[in-house]
Amino acid sequence: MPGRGKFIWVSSGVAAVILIALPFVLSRFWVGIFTEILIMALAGMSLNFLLGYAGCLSFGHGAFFATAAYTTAILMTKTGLSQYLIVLLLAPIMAALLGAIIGVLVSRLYAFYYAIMTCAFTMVLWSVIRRWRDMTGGDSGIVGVKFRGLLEGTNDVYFFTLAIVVVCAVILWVIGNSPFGWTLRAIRENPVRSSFTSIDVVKHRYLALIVSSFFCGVAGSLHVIYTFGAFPELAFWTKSGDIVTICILGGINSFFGPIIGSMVLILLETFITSYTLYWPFILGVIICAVVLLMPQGIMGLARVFSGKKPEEMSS
Amino acid sequence: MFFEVVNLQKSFGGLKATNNVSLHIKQGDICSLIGPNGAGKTTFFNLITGHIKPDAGQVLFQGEDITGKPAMAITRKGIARSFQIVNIFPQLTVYENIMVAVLSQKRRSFNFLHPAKKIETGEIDRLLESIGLTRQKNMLGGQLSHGNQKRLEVGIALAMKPKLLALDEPTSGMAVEEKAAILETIKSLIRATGCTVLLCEHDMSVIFEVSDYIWVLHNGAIVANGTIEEIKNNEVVQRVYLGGRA
Repeated sequence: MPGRGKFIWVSSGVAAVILIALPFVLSRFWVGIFTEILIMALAGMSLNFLLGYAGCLSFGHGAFFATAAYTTAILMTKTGLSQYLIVLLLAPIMAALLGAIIGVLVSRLYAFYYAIMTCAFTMVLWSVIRRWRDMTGGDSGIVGVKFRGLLEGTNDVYFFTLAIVVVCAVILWVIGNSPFGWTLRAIRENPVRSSFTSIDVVKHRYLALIVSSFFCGVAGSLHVIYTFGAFPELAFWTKSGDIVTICILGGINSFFGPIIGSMVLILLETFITSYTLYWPFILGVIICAVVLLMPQGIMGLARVFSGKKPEEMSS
Repeated sequence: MFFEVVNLQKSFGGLKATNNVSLHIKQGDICSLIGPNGAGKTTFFNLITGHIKPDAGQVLFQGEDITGKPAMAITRKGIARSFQIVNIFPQLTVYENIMVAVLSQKRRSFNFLHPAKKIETGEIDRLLESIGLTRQKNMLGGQLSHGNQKRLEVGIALAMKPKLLALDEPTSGMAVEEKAAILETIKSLIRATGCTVLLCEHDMSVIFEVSDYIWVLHNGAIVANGTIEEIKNNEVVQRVYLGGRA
């Protein structure tokens, strides 16, 4: 499909130009908002790797986000470690370790049960964070995390986040199109037939969770630069709910869906909260509308308009 | 003995679906399992391919005891199965359906780095050609006609390079011309790959055309076995299944 390939290259090029030019055109406030959009887009892409490809609905990704955020905050404030790049590697590893533990218990579960168990885990983590005052600062979280050097200005933080998110997106894209990624899709479609094709369904789902939690951890670590701290709310189920919403809004059958979903969700929230306090109500209505009227999300709708089938998982 | 089942038993509540079934298959044979509806053919298939565990008895494949092993392991050992009710990957294209099976057979399903669609393309295309689905390779599995979905079923099983191919009613739900066509395809595939086949069918014309040996199942138990001629002339079989005529 050569026309399609060209379309992707052109639109990626346009997007790249816009993303790079952004900080020179917008105010600091908006550059900050777009930094958050990038972070949540990565969180969404990490969940979508699990949800769109492997068909596992995790309602507990906030746990990985929070684990990495707290690891980052703790390492930067309580240890002598000041090289952020090392922390950026260690924090997602901690998140992936948590994924490895949770995975042992959830990889045999499906649908609703998978969602409930992962949700339960993130709430347990939330409780632990709130009580473990010495380590986590309890209810107040950890504040005042300083980043020296390259990560001090709003624009610098934005470009750093952009670079990391793009690298992670490329890696997720490569893994998604590898034999592993396609095996996950087969498992999503038909786990029984997959096992009759000698695919180890449980092991693949387990690994998918570890990959997903690692990249969600990257997003969580980047979040600390943006907010200068780590807070218990990151592990509360609503954060996980935000990440799921981003995926569904953008379209779980699309690789770029979470990027669109993150942009729409955060921009809408920013606009609407400047007019009314009732953002949660409006968000609820939006989610209902999406689920009922366009279950394939925004990218699914875009595919319909371009004459293709919305269910095909591609870009 | 290439494949042997000894005193296999399975009950569901009060129903004895598999009642002390013993049978054997010689390597290279096309062996058929026939019986009226509810005889327990699909349960038997499920037991020997690892979908469900037997209550008692043994399943031996090339001398190895595979009783109660999971489907994934049994498939790895060389027994591949197609399903009576089409069981493919509906939202994947025909090419992707076969691709996933081939990648798994080649033990590359944990490969993170290479683009999957550039690997083993020759083998996948050959398989598609042999099941007659080359033209449909970019169609979604769920969009295929019933007959083509059945071909894809067999294709996925064949991609596993099985030594024993267990086909559960491969021609069910098909029109006469389609049946003849898929039968030809299956026969040529068997000739080409040399695999042993356990075939379960309702259509007696199919059975009498291809079988080297036949086992007859009724109410979960084997009531007769033999060559085509022996079965055609068997009184019990005539009464139970063929309705009194040969």
